[in-house]
Amino acid sequence: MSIPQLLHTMCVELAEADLNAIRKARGFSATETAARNSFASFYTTSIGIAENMAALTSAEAFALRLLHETGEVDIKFFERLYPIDKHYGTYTQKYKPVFDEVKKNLVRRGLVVMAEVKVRGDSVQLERWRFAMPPEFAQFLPPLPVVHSKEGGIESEGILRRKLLELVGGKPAIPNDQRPIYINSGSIYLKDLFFSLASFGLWQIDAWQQALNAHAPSTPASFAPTQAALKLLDSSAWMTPQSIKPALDIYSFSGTIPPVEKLLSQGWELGLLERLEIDHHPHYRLAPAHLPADPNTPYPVPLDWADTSFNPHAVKIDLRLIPLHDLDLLNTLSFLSVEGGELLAFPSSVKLGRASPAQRSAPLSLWLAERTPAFGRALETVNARWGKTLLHENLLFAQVRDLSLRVQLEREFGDSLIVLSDHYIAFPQGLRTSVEKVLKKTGFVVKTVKA
Amino acid sequence: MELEHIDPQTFTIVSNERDILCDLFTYLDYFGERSVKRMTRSNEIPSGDMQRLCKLMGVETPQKDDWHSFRMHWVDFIGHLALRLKLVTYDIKGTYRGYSSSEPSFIDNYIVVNQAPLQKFLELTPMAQEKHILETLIHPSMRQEYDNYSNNEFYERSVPGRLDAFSIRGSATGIMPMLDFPQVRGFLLDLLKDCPVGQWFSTNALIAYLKTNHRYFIIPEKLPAARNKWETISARYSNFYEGMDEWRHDEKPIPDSAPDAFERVEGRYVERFLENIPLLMQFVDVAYDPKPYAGPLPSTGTLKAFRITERFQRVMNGQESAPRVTVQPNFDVVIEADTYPAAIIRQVSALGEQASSPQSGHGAYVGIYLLQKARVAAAQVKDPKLDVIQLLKKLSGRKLPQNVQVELEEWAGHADQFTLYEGFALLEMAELPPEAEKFSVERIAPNMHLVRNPEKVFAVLETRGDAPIRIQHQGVKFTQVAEAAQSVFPKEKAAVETQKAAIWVKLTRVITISYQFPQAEAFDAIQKVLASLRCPFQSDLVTKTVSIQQKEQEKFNEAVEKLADEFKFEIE
Repeated sequence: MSIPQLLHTMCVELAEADLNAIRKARGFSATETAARNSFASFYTTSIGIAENMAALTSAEAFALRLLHETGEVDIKFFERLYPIDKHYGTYTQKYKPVFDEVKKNLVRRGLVVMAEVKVRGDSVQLERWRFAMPPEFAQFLPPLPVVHSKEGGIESEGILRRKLLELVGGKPAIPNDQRPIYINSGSIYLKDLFFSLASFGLWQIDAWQQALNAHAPSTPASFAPTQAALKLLDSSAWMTPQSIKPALDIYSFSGTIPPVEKLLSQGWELGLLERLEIDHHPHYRLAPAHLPADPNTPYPVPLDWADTSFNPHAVKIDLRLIPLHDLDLLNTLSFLSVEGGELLAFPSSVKLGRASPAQRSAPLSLWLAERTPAFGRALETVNARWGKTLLHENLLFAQVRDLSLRVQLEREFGDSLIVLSDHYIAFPQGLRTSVEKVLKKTGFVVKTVKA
Repeated sequence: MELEHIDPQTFTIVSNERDILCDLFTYLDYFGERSVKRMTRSNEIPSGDMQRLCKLMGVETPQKDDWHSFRMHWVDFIGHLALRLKLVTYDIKGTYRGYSSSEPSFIDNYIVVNQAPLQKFLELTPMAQEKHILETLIHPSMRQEYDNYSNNEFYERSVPGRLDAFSIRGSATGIMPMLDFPQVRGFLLDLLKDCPVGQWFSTNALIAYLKTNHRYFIIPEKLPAARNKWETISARYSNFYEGMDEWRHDEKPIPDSAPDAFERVEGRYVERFLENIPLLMQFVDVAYDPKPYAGPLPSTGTLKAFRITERFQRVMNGQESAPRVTVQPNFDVVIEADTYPAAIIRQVSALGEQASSPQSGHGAYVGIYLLQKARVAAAQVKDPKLDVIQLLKKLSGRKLPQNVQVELEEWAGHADQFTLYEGFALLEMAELPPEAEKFSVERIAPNMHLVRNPEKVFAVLETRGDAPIRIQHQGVKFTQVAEAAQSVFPKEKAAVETQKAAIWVKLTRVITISYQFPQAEAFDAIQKVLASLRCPFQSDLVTKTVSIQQKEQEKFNEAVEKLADEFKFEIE
């Protein structure tokens, strides 16, 4: 059931006493709650929301934040907020106190909607209740306990660089690394993924999780502490380990939460977080994303991480200094190999051909073309040839000898069919049944030639 | 053999309307086109398929409470026959799934048509097919694990017949396992071969003839020796029990010394034989006594008479006549044959639709098929070497009507009007390099080639440094190509423009008028009257509001008028 359906069902089926409680809590007038059908529209307005949100405990506010991210949940979700007293007995015996608390503190305050849904099979009534927070309320959630500062934080690149240096024979960056980095056929790979900012980000998260041995709990809507921290932190405001702890208790309910200081410090070491000391206390926020270089700003003539004097056909790369976004692009554009403990980038017409026009005209590509004649020639050739050879797959092609049939097919399918020549047409595979229907209707049969 | 004639006027005459050959091919066609799994527990054909098959064959579907008839359903019989002919395969033994299983289970027991044996069977003439079926029926085979000695006319009830059977008790002992039933059946069929066609003969007369002339046609005069030391063959008729009711209380073996022992054992067999293979194969018609049977069971003297059919004479004497095929100017193809001509029907039905139900009388077949453009073209597509005109000329043995020939020539041309290329890729490239030429299937335009093995083609082009772009189209729309690309396919820019276009939404204005009632009595009354006037309305019980669409205003006014005696409404 979608959240609007839940809301509508609740407004229709809500008991008069509950409705009165919501009216009182949110400050609706009697006329607004009188017509049940239209009450759903009033419910999602901002009337009384800010006040009620402000009155929530911090745990309730974090739970609602998680509820907003999760969507529709059952009563077990609120176990993290209102712990159950006994771990034995029937479902109803265990969760009835939680249900009462949710109804009293969240539903009757007009912040959470609930409705009973039809569930297949045997289930007790309490299992059939579903809860959600209308997405319109999210903007009124109490802000996280963050600190704003104009000062820039410190990033840690040590482990990241050690990871890259593994390519040229460096020592392992972390013990028992699950995603080894290596070069294969001129490209850098992380385990089985092509090296890119995204795949490197995955390695960072995996390494973080592995370092803390913190895994996602099996409870629905609960996250691993690392994932929870990534969800709670952002790149514009700072949080202390102490202020994030209550939120982690909610987000990672039923899982093992490591000491928060250790958790955030490890994230910082892996380059996922930034750190700033404010009043001698460490504060953390997400490290800024690795953005590609500004396409309008040309690179300076000497690049501290690239050496073109080494070989006229290649560029020597300094893995201690190269920005990650440049390594990502270089992996897309050039043939990489390690020679004599150095990473070299050679021009590759295959890779340049696979690159998009934007990647081929990026400042780095232009810099390489200008500084290395081999790159320049390769880029020029590919730019001249690109777009003149196209291979279309997953299409069906047909030779249509009967002109009237061809005209009928064109009229029937319009832009979804392309006439390739006098007798040949092409259409997507999804249209096959429709085309066959037209043929059947007009008395033609399909002769099939398979590859 | 001279037998007494009998007038069957007072009897119930039964003929088998089912053509065993026709239904066998219906069964094979059905399972050839579908993948049908027999039921895990009962190993029956699933009820949906059973119903469809019954409809195709024109037989009644099996009733759930029909178990007490102990008679196999016609479709099941045809299925067993197909299995015995080795034209289909399915498991009949099953496996015991667990230690405590009381019955075997049949897991993934699909009915599979064996194409090679079927093709061999189809190549036989209809008469040879009929004889092959007869031979298969004469020679029994196990249908279940333990029916070795009971799979004969004494114990098995005929599918189209009416008579009951002997009790199976002790059938694996005594004389029964040593009897040669195929020889008995062959002997009786040979005997009946000399009877004139169409004349009714008394069954009792046949039994009397056998008693006089071939007394030991089932059980030899000298009883065979026991097969091992544990077995004793004490008496000639020790396997045959008679009882007084359905449950065979007080069953007793028929004594060898009884003067009518032959009639009570061999006589019963003759009756049951007649309503078995001969009736199944449409070799005889039989006549039963309509009076309810009263006497020791199993019944005796109930099948009073029989008559031989032409079909029997034809099959036994090997008189085969070729099927006649006539192509008429109205595009009808008429097939006439004495025996179901499966091979010809397959050829003709591929070219046209059956226009009438096949008529048959004792196996004679008359079917009319209307030639159709789409089917002729489809047959041409399936077999490009097929010459439809020559085929029909060969089948009919004469020239085709002029108009039919002209049309058929045109229809055959429809076969290659639409050729679909499946699994190919399109290469848009001005000059195809020599390295990629071997992958080209068709050059459809100066700069377009249909190619196979797109992976390899792409690798070749990349290696050459042609900077090829690989486009994977999905679903029902083309994937747009980059604006800079030279292609006939839609470009990305066009897609951006279409995305900007606003979605056209046509709204219908509906004006609703709401009336709020101050008191519940009038509110309830107006709803009842509006409902009686079939006026669509919505009501809100809390606010006591009735809402109608503006176009229903007249009906609302009518309702107000109807309530004028009870309420005086004033609308603000």
